[in-house]
Amino acid sequence: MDEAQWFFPDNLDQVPEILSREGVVPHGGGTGILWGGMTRVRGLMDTGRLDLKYARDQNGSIVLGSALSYTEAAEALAKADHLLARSLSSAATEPLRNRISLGGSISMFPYWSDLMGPLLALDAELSLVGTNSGTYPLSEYVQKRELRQKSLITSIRWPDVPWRGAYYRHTRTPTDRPAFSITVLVLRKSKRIEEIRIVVVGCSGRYRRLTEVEQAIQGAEVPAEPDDLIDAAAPQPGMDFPARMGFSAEYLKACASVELKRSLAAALRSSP
Amino acid sequence: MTGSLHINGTELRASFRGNELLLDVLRNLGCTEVKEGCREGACGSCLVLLDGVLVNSCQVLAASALGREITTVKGLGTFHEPHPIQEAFVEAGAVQCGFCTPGMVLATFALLKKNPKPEEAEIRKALDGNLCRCTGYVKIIEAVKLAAERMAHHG
Amino acid sequence: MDEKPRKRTHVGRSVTKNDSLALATAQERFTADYPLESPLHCAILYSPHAHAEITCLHTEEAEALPGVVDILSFQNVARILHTSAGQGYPEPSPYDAVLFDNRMRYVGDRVALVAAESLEIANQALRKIRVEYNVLEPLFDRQRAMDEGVPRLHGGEDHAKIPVAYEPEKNLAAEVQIAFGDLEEGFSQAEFIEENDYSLPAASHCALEPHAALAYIDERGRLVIISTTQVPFHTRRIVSKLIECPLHRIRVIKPRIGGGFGGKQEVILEPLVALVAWRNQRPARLVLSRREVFVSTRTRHAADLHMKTGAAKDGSITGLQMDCLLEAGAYGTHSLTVLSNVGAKVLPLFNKIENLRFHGRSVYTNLPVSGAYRGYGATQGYFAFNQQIDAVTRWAGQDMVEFCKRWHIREGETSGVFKALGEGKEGVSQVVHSCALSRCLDRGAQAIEWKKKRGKHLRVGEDKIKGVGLAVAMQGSGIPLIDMGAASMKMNEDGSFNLLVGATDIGTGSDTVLAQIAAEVLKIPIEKIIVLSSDTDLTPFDVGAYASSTTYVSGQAVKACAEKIADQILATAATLLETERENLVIESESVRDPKTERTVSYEEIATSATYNRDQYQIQAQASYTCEESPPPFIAQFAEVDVDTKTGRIEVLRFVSAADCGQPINPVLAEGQIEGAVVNGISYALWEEYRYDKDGRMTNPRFWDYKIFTARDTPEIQTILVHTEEPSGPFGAKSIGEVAINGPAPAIANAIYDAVGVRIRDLPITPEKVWRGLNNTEHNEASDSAPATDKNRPTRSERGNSP
Repeated sequence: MDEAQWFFPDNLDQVPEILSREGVVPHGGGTGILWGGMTRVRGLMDTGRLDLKYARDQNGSIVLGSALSYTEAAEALAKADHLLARSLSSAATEPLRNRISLGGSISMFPYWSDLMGPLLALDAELSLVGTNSGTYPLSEYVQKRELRQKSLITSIRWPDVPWRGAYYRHTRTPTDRPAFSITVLVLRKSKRIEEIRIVVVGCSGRYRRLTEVEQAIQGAEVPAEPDDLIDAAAPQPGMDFPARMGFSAEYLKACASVELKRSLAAALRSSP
Repeated sequence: MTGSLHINGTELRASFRGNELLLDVLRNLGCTEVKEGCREGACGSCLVLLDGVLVNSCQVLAASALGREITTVKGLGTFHEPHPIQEAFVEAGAVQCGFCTPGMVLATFALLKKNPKPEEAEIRKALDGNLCRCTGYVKIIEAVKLAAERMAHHG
Repeated sequence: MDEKPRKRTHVGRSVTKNDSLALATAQERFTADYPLESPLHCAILYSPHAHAEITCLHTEEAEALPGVVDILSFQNVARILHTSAGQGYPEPSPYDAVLFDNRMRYVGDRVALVAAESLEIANQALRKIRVEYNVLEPLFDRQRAMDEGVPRLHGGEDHAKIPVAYEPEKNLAAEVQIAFGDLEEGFSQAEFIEENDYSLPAASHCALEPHAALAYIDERGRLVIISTTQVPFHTRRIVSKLIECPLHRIRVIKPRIGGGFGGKQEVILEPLVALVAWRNQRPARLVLSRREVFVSTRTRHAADLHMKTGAAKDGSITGLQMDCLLEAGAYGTHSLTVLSNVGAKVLPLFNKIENLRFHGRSVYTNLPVSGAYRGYGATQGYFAFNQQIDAVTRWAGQDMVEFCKRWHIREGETSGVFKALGEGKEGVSQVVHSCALSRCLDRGAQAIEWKKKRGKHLRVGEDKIKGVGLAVAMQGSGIPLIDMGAASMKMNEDGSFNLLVGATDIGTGSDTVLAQIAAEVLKIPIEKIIVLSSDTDLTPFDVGAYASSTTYVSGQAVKACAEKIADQILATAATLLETERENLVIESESVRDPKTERTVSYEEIATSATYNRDQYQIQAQASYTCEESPPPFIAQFAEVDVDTKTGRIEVLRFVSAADCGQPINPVLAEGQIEGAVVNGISYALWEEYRYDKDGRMTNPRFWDYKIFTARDTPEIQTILVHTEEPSGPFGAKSIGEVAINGPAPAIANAIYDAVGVRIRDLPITPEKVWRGLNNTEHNEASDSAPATDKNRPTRSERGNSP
């Protein structure tokens, strides 16, 4: 497209009309838009004046404004040593972390996302404004293409629960995108595993909750050496991968199995 | 579209299209200190500060920079009054071909503003968006440490 | 002999590079930063096919686009056979290319060029050029390049300029063979034979600055070229020939260059902008994108090596055979000389091997073009050589450090290989005058804690095992009897000097290093030397920045020139002090008569000579061609941790101990080593060109072609071990390339030390190690991953460490 028109709304009420126009997309940092190419983009709606950069505790939930960059979100969550802080601060590179917005990243959801694993594990919800105004579970948002049309993600929220966790990203180099990532969240009551959530992103089908493994571990007492427990729960975790980034499918599968066990061990060992 | 870009404290009127990159607009305005190395946000040659935040100007659409403060390496120091970071790079032997140096200096500036006493791991992470093929990064990391030391002493 | 550095004033000091501050404050201009008045912007149309004939090329629609000024193609540009290799004349690379051909030989070959009022219009015009191709069968497998019935890329009028093996009708771009002794006899004497295949991929230099070139016509109608060149004088010559413009009407100026590493030792863009500027009498500008640099400039030669080493019970090598197949790609630039170097820079290192044979070939394939790349064949050779040595020493129950100390070439010794293998032609015999490799080995081994870690399989955490590996290497310093550098100096009345050198500073700091040499001779502060380099109108000739020649060759020219200046200074001083020349000594910026203690300053001498008495311009010039190429030596050590469950490799520490003679500027010498080391480690672990089944490069971006960042580097230690090279300026040799040769084999040897898995093909990926640990072969057919250009299973084997 030769000319792309820009809109700079300063009020969320203006958003639905702007996004209803053909070929107009929300612009946070713009990295996702540039990645996808701008040929079909007729207009860009910048979110900079919509006051969507915030991080709050609200009624037992953590709420993040969608315009936060990875760096800003990681800094806001760093105090609590939140797992999301760890995953976001290892993503990409410094200047890209400064520019990738949460909203943009969620709407794009590439296989290499360092954001989606933790958010899906946290059972995050999104607030949308536009054609599909409302609140939606993230898991529903990623299944339904139509929710991404003509709508702006304004915020992301999840219940503030004292999870302990582990995050693993499988890369060639530290600044590389991950071929896959593994998120483990564990809620313990002394030695008992109250709840466990495991999300793999980048496997076939884009992502999976490993519910079989979760069920095998949930409710168990964590022994001092959790390896037996983990081995019993995850002998064949059933993750498949396409070959990518120079890795064969076989190798990715084998690594995922190893790293899943390591992530579980790390998550279970981390002190409450 | 036409608008004002604030570059190193000076307001410049610029005309550009909605899909133009900040990198190209800056270079067309004469800011050749902002370099193009890859156009994919990987090499860091094109780094600028946007409202004080380190970004790849090849990954920023110029329109989204309107009304914002843009700082290039020339906004930090000049040949006659170099910034302590630039002096540290010179002293540590961290400048070989110099193509990556403006970006490295800006990344160092952004780091030391947030974290005046960084550990080596933090330095490496803060500069992970800056490629260099000449130095192997060894003397660049030394330069950052030297700059941190100097700036801590002088406040 | 424990060599102590001599007391010198400027040589051996880590003087700040004279352009550092200007670069750090972005005062300096690189090629793409130069403003031009109303330039024509150029864009290139590339072939989408690996092998095709253009049957139809219609540019009318593109020409009709407003703002399009010129379109170049085979239809309107003379077919002048040449090589793009930036080498001395007559070039040892085949003349197998023309500026615009109607035959495309790789995806990325050049179809046409559009020159327009803006880059946007030029790119639009590209899309309007209509091309019809007769697609030909491509050749991607270098192993089959010389088989019967495979596609041929060249023939016809393509020819070699010098009498060397060149058979384009067999896809043979170059062939080299040497033999000494009786190899079969040597193998029959061996108690142990180690025979293996090794393989290295093409790689990109990844200099941060993309290739660029500008051309304009000056006020007197001369063509001026400013470009990212390592070889301004070769550029002038080749452009003159290709645009059929007399050489004396062309001026080439080298500005600041953002790295080269061999990738800019080519004449690729300059003839294009020159042609556009000449035809249209307007300035022309061409700046490549990163993608174009990856695909359509040059790469390192991919290589297959076969090595057979026979050893006696005491470990001594009874026979060594090295066969090498290099992939030239679509054109043969540098293919003979890189090939020669695989043997020439590797085999002399262990010069006591009496029975040896080297046989190498470079072949054409329909893939991106290989050219010069730091290391220049030695890198490929040493990857194989050092792993063979590692295997032999293990079998013999010997420590590799001690083995190398015992067998490496020594001061006063020679090797028949020096004479037998030159850069394409016969080489030049030489004796090694300086070699501290044993000391390098000792100091490096100590720094990496070799004894503590070697063969110990130290466990790190639950799943990681530690290993250390060694690689040794030598390189050269210039090309003997071929490389020439020259310098001229003049003295200004304030006692300062202008130093004009053809030598090409591409970020290496050679301007400063050469100034240090001159300052040492004349005993003046560095600031009093004003260096101007690489302008074909103003500076004398120099071959350019390659073959690790600048300090050694250009440095000797500078030294000789400065000595002539010193003579003139003394002569004038003698007149002023009314005494004989022989009574006088040069001191800090002055001349003194020790008998009378009378002195006269440089300023006084220069002022007198310029204005007052027996006036003449104190000036001199000197040239130097080296008669030998004294090797720098290096011992490099890698410490790795290997994850036994995933094969992941972490390089923790890398130590280089190098003998480059007297380092003129230690910080700059370290900088060369450190940069080469990180490039080498990156190449060992991550870098490779990947192609789809149609020969299209699938990873021409940093997104998928990964190079090291500051977050990835190990702890790097650099040790300079001092020697005095008598044939070098103030004892110097060279340091530009040698350090890139050790990382890949040292890491491979370290991995073997850790977990007994040997990886003989680069890059050494975690998956290859994992397969080695699990003894599984990779079945590519079961993958949906893009095929690589060779469908060979990865070679790795589980060995038994002693």
